[in-house]
Amino acid sequence: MGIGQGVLIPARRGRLRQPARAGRPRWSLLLLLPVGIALSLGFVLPLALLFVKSFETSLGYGQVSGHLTFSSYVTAVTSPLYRTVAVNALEIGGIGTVVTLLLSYPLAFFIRFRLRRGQNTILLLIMISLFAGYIVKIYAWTTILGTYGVINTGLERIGLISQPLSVLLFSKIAVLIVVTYLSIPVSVLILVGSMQNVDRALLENARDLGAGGLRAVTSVLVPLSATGIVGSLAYGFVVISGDYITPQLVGGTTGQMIGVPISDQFLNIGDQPLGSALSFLMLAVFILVYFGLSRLERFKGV
Amino acid sequence: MTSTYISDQSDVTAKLSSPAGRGLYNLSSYSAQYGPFYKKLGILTPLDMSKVPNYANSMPFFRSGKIWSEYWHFDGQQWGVPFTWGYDSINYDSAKVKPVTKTTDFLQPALKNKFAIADDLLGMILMSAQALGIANPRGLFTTKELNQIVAFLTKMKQNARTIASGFGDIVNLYASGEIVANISGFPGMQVLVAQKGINSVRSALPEEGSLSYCDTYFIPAGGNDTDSVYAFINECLTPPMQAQEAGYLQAGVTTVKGAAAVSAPNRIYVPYNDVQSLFVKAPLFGLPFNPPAGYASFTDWNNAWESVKAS
Amino acid sequence: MSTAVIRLRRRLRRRGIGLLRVYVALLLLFLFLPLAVLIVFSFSASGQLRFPITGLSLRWYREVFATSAVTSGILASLEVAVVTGAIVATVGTLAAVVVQRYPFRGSGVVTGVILAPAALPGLVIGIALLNFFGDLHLTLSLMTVTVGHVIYTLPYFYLVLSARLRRFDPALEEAATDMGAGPVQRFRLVTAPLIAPAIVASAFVVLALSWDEFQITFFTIGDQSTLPLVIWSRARLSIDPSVNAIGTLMVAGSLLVVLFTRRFIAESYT
Repeated sequence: MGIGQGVLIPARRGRLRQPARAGRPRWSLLLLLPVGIALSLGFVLPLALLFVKSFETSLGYGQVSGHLTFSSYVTAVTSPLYRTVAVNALEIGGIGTVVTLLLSYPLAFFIRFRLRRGQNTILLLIMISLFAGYIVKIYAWTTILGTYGVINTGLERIGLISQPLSVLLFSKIAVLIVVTYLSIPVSVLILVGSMQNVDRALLENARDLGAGGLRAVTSVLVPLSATGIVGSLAYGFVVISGDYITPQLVGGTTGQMIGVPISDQFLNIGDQPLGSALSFLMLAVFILVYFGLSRLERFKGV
Repeated sequence: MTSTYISDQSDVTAKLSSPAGRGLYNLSSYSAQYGPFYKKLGILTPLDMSKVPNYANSMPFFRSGKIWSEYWHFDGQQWGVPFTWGYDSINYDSAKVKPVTKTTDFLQPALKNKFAIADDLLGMILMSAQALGIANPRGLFTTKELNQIVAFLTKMKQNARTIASGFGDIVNLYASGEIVANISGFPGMQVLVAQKGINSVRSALPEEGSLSYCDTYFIPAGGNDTDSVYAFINECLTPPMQAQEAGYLQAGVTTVKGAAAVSAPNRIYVPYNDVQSLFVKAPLFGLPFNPPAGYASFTDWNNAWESVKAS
Repeated sequence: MSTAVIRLRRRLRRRGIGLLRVYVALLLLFLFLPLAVLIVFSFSASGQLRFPITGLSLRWYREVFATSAVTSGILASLEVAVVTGAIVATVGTLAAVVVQRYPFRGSGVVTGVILAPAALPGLVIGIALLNFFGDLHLTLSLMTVTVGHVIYTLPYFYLVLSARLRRFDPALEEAATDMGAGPVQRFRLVTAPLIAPAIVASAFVVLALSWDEFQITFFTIGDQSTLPLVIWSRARLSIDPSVNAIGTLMVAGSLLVVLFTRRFIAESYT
């Protein structure tokens, strides 16, 4: 049914109606109640309870006493046990999200400005690639990166290497490759979304004014798509540094990240206060990162 | 009777000791050493052994003696029924490497980047303790000794290809050629890898000693200890069921008649001809859930293993 | 730009191919290579996930459909996805429409709170919920899984729907009011048909996200597993092409849903 076709609304007979006021009916705010309840019960409350839990004293195996203390936070911050994996998470999260952005941006640009007709198809294909099963995709990568996997066998066949590169799997590099792979689809979608409202004409004008292709893009498009860039960086950082499965499956002995001990604390060891404390410290870092990124957006924004 | 697969004992502990898990299950199993600990957590139900007459068929080790009175029958009641058991071992691919027979072999350059460590905290800590000569049957280590174990394991980890989170991963690693050995493994690994077409994987009991485990059925507190649950446990101790369990769980069985019924290929999992001496070389170690002062607790073991994995 | 790149560019230009196109082709290859590996290996005759493949077979698909754990997993995932979709679509549409149509002073804050769960990794949402259900003495089940999925997918639904709502011309609704329609009539005859496609498209995103969700589900799962958890459990015991078969089925499933709802998802990009 086309927009506006065939819709006939009879005027009220015999009454001269005033033009409608663009007013807000008072009951409209009530419509926000469902989402308020859902978020309060399912999100705000659980997080608050987790926060309280981080100050409890652990009795081991999931039990806590009512005594409140900072000791979990002290352990989390001072224990060398978590330093390596926390640093790994920040490192891989930071590098991963930047690499994701750099790889995704040209593709997003291409989809938005260079494709006349295939835009929807390619976006849908990218979305489908997202939903092949998170675990299955990671295992597919072990087949590609393995000592006798696709890459090593291919490189050996064409004579580029004589020994397989064992560093491609069970290493920090493996984690970086896989998490970047997992984040690119969403990053592309975020960037394309932010480029939607940028008028093609603006880029063409910049060209006409003498800016070369690349310069037109960097000086015009990047500031205008700043929201998308910041969104992509933020999303990538959070998702990558909080991933606790990829490091287990492809991280080997050197690529573990903080998500793994947090998950272990909750499921295996039962020191909930410590697990919670580590989580909130991680969230604190995320807030700092968001703050930094929003600064970046203001700096670049038009 | 529907069953849920839980990946390891710590999941069982977490699920059953959390209030959210109560009443979820009518039957579960623990590894023998957890008995007194689970009793303390309050997740065991005292068993009415008159409903499990087949228990009398069990080998003497499993129905009398010191270990029995520590893990299965204490405080005047029976809390668990052992049905299968086995021990941790070393595995290696005999087609690719000379026999690996010592835990300390895994620190040598010859195996660098070619083996997997199982994410098995008990197996790794106790096998290291055996290799360092500081193991004791009660599983008590001083803080200093635990640090020695951590240092030993950290060195081993740095020599390894990866830490595998499950046996499925280890089998896959053999099949894809990434590893030639693993620790801790078990005798059944050769059967698992053979399913992928590789028949050369072997098992070896480490010269320095190893550890045993024993699967024990129990009824979680809050579950229904109906007659059907008891009937199931009793049925599991009959010779035909025991023979099946040996094949399916790739383990040894606890009853005498059951052991006789186990078919030849499934006899590799435990040395049926000399059960007692296996338990000398690979004891059913106690676990320090409530250690005396100065000794590391099970939580300390957990944190020690985490620090090895994270280092 | 370095001379090497300039020279490469000229050579490609001569063949009518832009540098950008080459890059896009390579990146798409990168994105779809693991999927190709996944699908191809699901037909491998041998049980190994080792390259190269020796023979082709459908045995893994047969095995997957014969395994009750897998079929229950599929049903459980469907159940959770549909319920999540229904809840999120209802709650999210109301919120998005109100904030869009009737902005008020606190609407920025409201949007912020709705989007907040997307700022956390699944790990933290998962443990917060596990802790919460434990404190409430609630048994873990598909219901607890659904709660997690609702919280996780709501921000994305809201984002996609809001973006689409922003593009609607309010003049159409004003016209309806000018012609004498009351608020209910206006909603029924003008608003609803207009935004229905947008709601369906956003709901599709929810279904897809819920279907694939693992990291939160891992903590909130009871004794009934969703498909991703079934895959995980199977992988603990044995990693063989049956895992790939399930993955391929998931891709096929997404493809079917996308083709079916294509009309609603596609937008005109100018």
